[in-house]
Amino acid sequence: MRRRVTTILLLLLAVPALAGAQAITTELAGESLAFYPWFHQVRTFNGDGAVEVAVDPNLQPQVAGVTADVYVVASQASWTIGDPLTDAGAGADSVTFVAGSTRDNRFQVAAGFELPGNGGADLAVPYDVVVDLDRDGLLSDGDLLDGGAGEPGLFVIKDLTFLGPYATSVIDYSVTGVTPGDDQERTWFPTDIDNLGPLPLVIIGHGNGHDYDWYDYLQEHLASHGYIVMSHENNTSPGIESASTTTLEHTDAILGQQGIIGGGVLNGNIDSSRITWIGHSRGGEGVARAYDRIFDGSWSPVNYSLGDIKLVSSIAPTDFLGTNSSNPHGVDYHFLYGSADGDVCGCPGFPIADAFSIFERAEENRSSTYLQGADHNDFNCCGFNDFDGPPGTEIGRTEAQEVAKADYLAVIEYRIDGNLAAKDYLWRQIEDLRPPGVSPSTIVVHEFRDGAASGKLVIDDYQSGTGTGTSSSGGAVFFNVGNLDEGDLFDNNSTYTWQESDPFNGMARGQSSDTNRGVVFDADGLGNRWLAWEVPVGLKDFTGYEYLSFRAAQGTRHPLTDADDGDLSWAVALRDTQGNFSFIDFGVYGGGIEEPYQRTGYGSGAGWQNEFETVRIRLSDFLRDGKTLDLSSVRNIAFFFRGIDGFSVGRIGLDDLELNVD
Amino acid sequence: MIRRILPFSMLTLALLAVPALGAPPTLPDTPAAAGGLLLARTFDLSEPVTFDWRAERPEYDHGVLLVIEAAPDLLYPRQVAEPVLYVGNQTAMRLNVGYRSGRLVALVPGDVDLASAPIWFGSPELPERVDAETVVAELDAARAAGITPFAPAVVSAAVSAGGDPIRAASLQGVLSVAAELVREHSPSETSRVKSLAGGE
Repeated sequence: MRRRVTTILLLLLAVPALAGAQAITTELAGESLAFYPWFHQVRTFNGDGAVEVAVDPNLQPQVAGVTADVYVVASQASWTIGDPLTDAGAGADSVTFVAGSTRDNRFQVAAGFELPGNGGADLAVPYDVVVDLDRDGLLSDGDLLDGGAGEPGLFVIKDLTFLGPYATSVIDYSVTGVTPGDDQERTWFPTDIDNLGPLPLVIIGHGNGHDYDWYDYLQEHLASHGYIVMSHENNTSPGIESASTTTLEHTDAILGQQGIIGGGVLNGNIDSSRITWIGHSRGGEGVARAYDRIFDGSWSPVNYSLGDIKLVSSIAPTDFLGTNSSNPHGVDYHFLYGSADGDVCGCPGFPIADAFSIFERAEENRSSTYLQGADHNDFNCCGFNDFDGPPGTEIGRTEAQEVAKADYLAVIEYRIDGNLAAKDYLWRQIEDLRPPGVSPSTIVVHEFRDGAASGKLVIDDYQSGTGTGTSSSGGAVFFNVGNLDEGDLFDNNSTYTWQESDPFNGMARGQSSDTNRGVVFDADGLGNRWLAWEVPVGLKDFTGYEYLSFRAAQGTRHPLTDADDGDLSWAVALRDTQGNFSFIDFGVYGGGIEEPYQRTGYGSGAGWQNEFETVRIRLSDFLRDGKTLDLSSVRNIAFFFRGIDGFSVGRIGLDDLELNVD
Repeated sequence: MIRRILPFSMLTLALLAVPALGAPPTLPDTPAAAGGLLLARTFDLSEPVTFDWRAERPEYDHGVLLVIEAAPDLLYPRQVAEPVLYVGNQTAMRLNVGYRSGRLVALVPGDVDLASAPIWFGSPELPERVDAETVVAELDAARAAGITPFAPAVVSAAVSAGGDPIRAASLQGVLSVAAELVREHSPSETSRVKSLAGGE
């Protein structure tokens, strides 16, 4: 009896102590890097990828000299002191931390395929990571925890190129109330649709001379992951206005006639508030035009509204109608394009064929995937091969479609379903995160930009403060790089041969009526070259942001670009108001700024349009290993054009320097 | 029984029908005359419909279906502007691609006098942006280039091949006939046949 009373007393006494105890929440999971900052904390791992953890003993000095057990555990929405730890892999890993550098405190805690990555209906399996410092097998006061604060520590994700968990069905049918002669639809959907609840709708509009039954690969893929995917006949031959009309009509038709389509199999199962429009070529412009027509009030849909169109995506779109008509405005926008497109070619002086122009008009959340060696019709089953590129660089239809399947699954999962596990694929460079089904030799270039509603802070997007000495956020800009020009991202002639009279050579990014601006300059490698921004005093506190990001491109066929083949990177530095510096060569994360595809034509030399690529650096990486940088008081952001291997040489385009919250 | 008048023989077309591999054929010079006129069949509709292939978007309740022959590079499906097919003072609605077969089925709205109307491919443009002023300019250019209507014998044979006028309640009735023409003259375009036939 006495013993029982004692136990109860101890438990009661322990309650206040537990209530005040807590684990230390920190980022742990990631990948080792070869140079400073030594470790890259990431959210998403491929199933075949090893998972590592790292602890910076300068930020967590209590770990030095401690042997601990590291658990990768099933993710929990919240954690309570005393929760048991059960490793989801081959068992907890015992590690010993040492004082000094992060470099010496990195440990692999799961080998490739060790952590289950098949979440059944879910695209990814979420995990948390716990460093169990007292080795009691429980979450204890002072243990380190990655996860549990509304977001898992990491995701292990399926191969995005693989079919999903759902068996699929397909139906062909005609609808009424659409353009005569263009009334056919083909819809793929999960066979068990009645038990899955209303599912998001994806609508595909083909290009000119193409057909609605040419996108089975993409329809089946997305349907197997839980989407209803309809492809319709598209009236592209008269032009873009007609194509957009068919997109608008068919969207209404499938929603309005779902009670009879396929015997009513879709009835009540379409989530009409989550619609994605995908268009290819003229159809790719058509979807942007369709959105614009509703936006402008010149078209009134019956069974849906503008707000129901959550994502618009164009594959290799034309740009016949230009700035004010082919415009996705503020809708989430995605873009897919091949560098060897022989039709919508991205040729200089040919604005109709400058596919990136519509992407550049997207005002808010946007992402792009540019695929070297893919031609126009690699993204459907049956169009003519129009590959136009150097021999030996053609990736072919099968490979291009592997990329397209992964790309669309990622962007729709993220934009439509808010699936954070998919987001990494939209911005991490392919050298860092590649769907396993995509060949290691395939070159993919991503752009990713958050909209203003994300809470980002723009340091310089060149849209205002147009003098070279002032940023758009109002701070001073200093530089000693050469031949710096601010202006429209617009190639002003019909050749890609470098000419000083065309400083934005290779920027096939808009028409003359577009006003999308950026900066170009030379890093000649003849000494330390730099470009620096003064952060306005009111913006100096960076602690509310996770990433510093920008997009950059190499200038095609410029002697400085040609002089240094391959990806380009440089050192990005932050300096606080006390004069403390920290800098990172972003090439350490894998990849860099891509050399333009070596396609010829339109002048002498080799190199096609400039390939903007987004770089995002986690701000906490600048603090690694005891760097005394005060992120609450940042005075300067600076680019020093030298990296791990020496001077960085190139003609460089730059835009959208900003801070992001995620 | 459709009689074929072949000023531009199938053998020639077969030789011209280049394999669809590699970069697209260069845009051909225009104006360029249609190579042949194989069939012409008039139609009447019970209800007028809108013609999307002109900027004015006129309504029509009658017209003619044509089967023409053309060099493949004129028919190669492009996303950028294609040569616009004109018949006299009107644009024509292409109902199939025709690149592999060299044969194109087209719909021309309104009254068409094939004895006086040249058939040609004009400057690359989106047909929905072609207005009356453009048509006049393109017709002048065609005539200046020496493009003339088909000979009366060719027209007569084409009309004969077409047979009786189509009387349809809706445009779909005409498109169903067009589907059969595509099936015969450009048989590899099975998807197009299906869609023109209304899914049948």
